[in-house]
Amino acid sequence: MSLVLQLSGVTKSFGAVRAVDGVDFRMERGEICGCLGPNGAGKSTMIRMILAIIRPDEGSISVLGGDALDAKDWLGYLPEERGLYRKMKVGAFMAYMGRLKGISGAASRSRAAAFLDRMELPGIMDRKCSDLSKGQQQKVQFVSALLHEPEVLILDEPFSGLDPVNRRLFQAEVLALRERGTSILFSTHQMEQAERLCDRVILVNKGRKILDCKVSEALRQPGIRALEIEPVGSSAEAAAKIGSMAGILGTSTNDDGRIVRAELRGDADQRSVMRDIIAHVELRAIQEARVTLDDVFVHLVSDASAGARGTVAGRAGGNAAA
Amino acid sequence: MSATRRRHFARRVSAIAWREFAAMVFTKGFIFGVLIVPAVMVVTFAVIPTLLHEGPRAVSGQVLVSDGSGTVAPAAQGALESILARHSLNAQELADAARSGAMDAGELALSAAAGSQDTSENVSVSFEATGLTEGELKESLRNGHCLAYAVVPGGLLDAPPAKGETFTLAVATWTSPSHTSLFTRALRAGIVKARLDRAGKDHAALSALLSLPEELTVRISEDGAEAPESLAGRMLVPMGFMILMWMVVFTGANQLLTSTIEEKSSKVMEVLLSAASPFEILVGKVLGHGMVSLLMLAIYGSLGIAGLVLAAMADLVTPLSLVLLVCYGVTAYFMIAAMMAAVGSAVNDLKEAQSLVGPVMLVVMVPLVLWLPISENPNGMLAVVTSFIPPLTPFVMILRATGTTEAIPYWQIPATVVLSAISSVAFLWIASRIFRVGVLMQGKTPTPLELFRWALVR
Repeated sequence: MSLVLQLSGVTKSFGAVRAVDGVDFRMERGEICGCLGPNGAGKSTMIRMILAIIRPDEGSISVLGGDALDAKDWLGYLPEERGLYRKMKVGAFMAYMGRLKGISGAASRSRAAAFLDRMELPGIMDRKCSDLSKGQQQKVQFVSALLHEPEVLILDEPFSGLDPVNRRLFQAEVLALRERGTSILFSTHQMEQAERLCDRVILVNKGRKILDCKVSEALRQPGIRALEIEPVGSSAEAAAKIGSMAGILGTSTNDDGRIVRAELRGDADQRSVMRDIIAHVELRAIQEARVTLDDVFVHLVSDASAGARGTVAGRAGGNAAA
Repeated sequence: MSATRRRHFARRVSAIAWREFAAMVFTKGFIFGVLIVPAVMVVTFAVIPTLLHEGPRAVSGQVLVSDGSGTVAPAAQGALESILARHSLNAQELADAARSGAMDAGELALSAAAGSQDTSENVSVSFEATGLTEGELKESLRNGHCLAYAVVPGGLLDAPPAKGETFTLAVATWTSPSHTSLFTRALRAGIVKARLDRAGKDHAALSALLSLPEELTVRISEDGAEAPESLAGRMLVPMGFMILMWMVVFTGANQLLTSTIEEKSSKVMEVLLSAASPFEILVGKVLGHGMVSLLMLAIYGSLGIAGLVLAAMADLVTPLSLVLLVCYGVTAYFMIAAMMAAVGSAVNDLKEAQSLVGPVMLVVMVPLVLWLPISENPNGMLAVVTSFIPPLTPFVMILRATGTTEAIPYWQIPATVVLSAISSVAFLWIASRIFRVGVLMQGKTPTPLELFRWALVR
């Protein structure tokens, strides 16, 4: 596998705020890498530096073995905030984006038509962008990022706002691109998507990388444990009650609101916590939960916020080396 | 910059420039605003004189004059015929009459409105002396027996005339203002003639003696060259050039501001930034809207020249003036557009832009304020100093360089063209620094000081 992206000691500050702080990161060809982190962690700044929109204050960025500015034609980008020219027709927009990326208007149109067919949007080339629904606009923008068959694709929250059917369509397309050798870096808050699609994840918090490893390794992080509880009554009340108990780091409820998930503190005794919950909450079932990327995210970010940065950074370094 | 980068730069800039140009020009709004409005103006200007050719409404009847002596009416009749004869003059005769002062502004307007039509055919009025009382005269007017009546106090015919005395002219409500004016002028001239006759003076001889002499003013430069004095050449043509340049520059730059704000607020900018650098986007947008401005300059400039040719004043525009218009116009556009693009990148909507556009507008308005003093004295201190202060340079220089009555030192033209070109590059460079940071910024509107800081960000 060859290296397509390498960040070495990259630092970027805006005034007194250090948005990215000495980040090292490598991505191989044909890899899907998830860039995770809370809001304001520095993910967008990192992506903008990879796209050569802004330059790092320190460190270096190599894209496809050269300067990021020279690699723009081989990069595809779907920003988090979608934007299209409202009065422009889809075909004209595709031709314009294609020309910017170095392919002719005619080639852009024919490729776009084929892509849009695959995305279940046939026959919209002559429609104005303003006439499309939000989901359709998102598909159009996704296709425009792929027109020039980029070697590296950067997707910022690609699945937000999509219904389950279209989400699966996007996911299938992302996996197909990986099969064709495209390297994909995607930034997301949807941990289950990252867990399902990514080969590797990096976790960024307050500008610093705190985790960089394969997904399977991330899920084996030491000290991350959780319980799943199915309460008899209101899950919201149960979650609040469980959240205030000793040994609990935080709680959340699943999508249908039936199951409460409680993450344990690193030093908590699992058996005694379970006994406490059984004693204080009327429940149908309680069991040890499978650790998800969500748990890893919450755990590491909370740890970092609590001042355990030294320990976590050590872990990140170890994983990166691995 | 490597050859590959240069190639990529040219491709991206041309793609962006063409999109901006096409998005502006191939729209109904542009076609209506830039092509149809001037066409409507041309048609209007062609039609209005035709409509004015109709001249004053036809009038026929008597104006009764009561002055106690019966001398005013025949004198007023003579004056009326003289005025009507002047209204029949052709364009050349009118110009001569204006230059010699033989006709006042009101007469000129009436004559111009009447055109070549013989007004005397429309106006068949006789001034008749009458001994009726004022009450009887009023009754006669109300019954339609006369067009108007005048009561002239005897004191107005004395030499010297009695102070504070006025004559009364009564007209029917339907009388047109131009006819009222005609009667008034005929009566005034008639009273003066009657007064002179009563004093035993020769009216014709005195009129000849009092006629204003014709003049020919010539401006002689320091090197001895002569140029005839011309209001159009000295003030109107330079103003026309400056207004034309100002209009197309400001329109193009304003469109650039709007387009930048729209791209930023609709988040298209983020997509563009993934495909092109901020500098490439800025240059592409500036060039695209610059082409729109050039097209407008060509359209309006051609219309202006066509108008001058029709008015037989084409000699007021020299080929050098047109070359300078393009040179100064292009550099002025780059400077103002750079400022507008920088502002557009820094704000999220047009409302926010107003606070930052204010200072730019102030700069853009300065040449309009300076037009009069600079046209009055194109080689004065104010004109020379402001010629070397970008971004005023191109606006002031086009005022100074296109005047036909006073030459400016030749070295100032190439010097200011070079200064404008260098300033354009500098403005674009500073704007690109602000643009690069601004397009990614969200939140509160930056202050001018913050914009300055952005220009210094690495």
